[in-house]
Amino acid sequence: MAKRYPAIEGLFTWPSDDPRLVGVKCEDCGTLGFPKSAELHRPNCRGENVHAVELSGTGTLVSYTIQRFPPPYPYISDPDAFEPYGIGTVELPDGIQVPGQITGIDVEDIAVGLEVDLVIETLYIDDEGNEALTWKWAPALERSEP
Amino acid sequence: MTDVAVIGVGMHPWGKFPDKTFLDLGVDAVRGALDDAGLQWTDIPAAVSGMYVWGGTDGFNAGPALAGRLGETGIPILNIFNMCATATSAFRSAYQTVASGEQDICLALGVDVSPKGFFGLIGKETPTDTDFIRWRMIGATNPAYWAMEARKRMVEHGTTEEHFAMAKVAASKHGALNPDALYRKEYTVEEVLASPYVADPLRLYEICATRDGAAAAILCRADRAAEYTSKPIKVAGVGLGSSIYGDPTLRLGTVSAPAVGSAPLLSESWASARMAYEMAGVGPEDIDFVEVPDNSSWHYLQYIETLGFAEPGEADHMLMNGDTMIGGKLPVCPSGGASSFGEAVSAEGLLQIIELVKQLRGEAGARQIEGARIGMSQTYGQLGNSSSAILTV
Repeated sequence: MAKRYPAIEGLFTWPSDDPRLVGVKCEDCGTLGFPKSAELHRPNCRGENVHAVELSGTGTLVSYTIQRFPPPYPYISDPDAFEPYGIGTVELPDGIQVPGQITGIDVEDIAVGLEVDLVIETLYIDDEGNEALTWKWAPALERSEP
Repeated sequence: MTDVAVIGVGMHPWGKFPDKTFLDLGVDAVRGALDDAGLQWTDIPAAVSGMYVWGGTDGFNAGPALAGRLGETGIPILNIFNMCATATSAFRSAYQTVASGEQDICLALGVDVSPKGFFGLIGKETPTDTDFIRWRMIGATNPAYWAMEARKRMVEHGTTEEHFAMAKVAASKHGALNPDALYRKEYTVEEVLASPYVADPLRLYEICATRDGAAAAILCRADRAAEYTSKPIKVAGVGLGSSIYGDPTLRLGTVSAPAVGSAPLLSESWASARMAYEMAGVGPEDIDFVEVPDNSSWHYLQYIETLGFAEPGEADHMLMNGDTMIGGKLPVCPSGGASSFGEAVSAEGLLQIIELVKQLRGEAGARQIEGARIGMSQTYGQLGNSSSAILTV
């Protein structure tokens, strides 16, 4: 049985039936960041009340592109099997924008304003046949279908 | 502070040179600058070198490594890496070395041999490094980031794909006049729009290539400049900026941005330009021409606004009116820009400064801007550090 594991640990809750991106928030200055390592503060905030937060799992696409050529390593893919994929910047109600690949929609149909949900999908199959996972954004409607 | 002038510039042509090392390129640029100023290497009392981050230990230690090739003399040499601002940061540090009175002369140098294709990760795979995270988890190349800013611009300001194509056309018309440019073809809007998307809405001809190159400048106390040149070019302002809290840019190599911005887009570039303006005692209205970091057509338009030459969204009109052409109100990238040279990260800023010097000396040939007295250069800064220079006759 193939294992499914985050390609990088700690970026989203896993395993989970309702996975969420894990960001970081400073209660003193109100600054929100993603991921946890991207801790930012207002100038002069001493950052004494910082904790991890789970970000909203739904948002709105505010910008996007289509990656038409295979990226270099450390993106792991088979260049011969490359298919262009969408990348979108999603605004979450928490007050933060987070980019990610767009899935579940033909790249030519992607449009600004699309309502999206966070999904966890396979990024690549590793040498042992296990699935390395990442976060992606999928049209909200797709998810509500049975 | 002592007034400072540029007395010599030199470059190795931009291109791909598989048979050369970064040291070969750097030595050429330094010798060119020395010849231009009528100096010997032993006349150089201090140097600042951009680091070459793709080249192992010698690259990180580029300055002393180059001195080995030129003949070691024991002078103080500082290595600097400041992302796209690297070469102009070296120029700034060389400026300070002379302005402070520590040395009468200082050399600034930048050299780069780019990896093939898209720029990839610099350094090790670190799970907490957002640059590693964006490559591994999203597969987002640099053009993908620029494309997402370009798309936002289309939504907010009505910029069209024709505007982006026209930016390439404008830069290519200048590059065609520059014998030093690598790409000298003059493009039409139709040709640009027929090139494939790399990252929609940005197309192949709208994104600069990654190339190799080296550039150097020799700075000198202004009151001694006449010993070396009949056309000293004064350093009026140098800027260096970092990001400001609340910058809404989805910065290269990050995976989040604030939903509501409270600082300018590209705030590090905005801050750098303001610093240079203040030091020079001039404003955007005083600048005769500008070299912007046209890594993509989005940059070309955005930087016109970031530097204060137009209100947000208005650069499109300047472009379409011909204002950004040589002979127009504000010639942009008279050299042809990164669009016509390709990008060599650690050398880029000094290539721009060389164009300022040539224009201000009146040595720009077919692309000469008549009566040019104040020129400005601005590097890219989407990693949170940017630099600017303002030079005058």
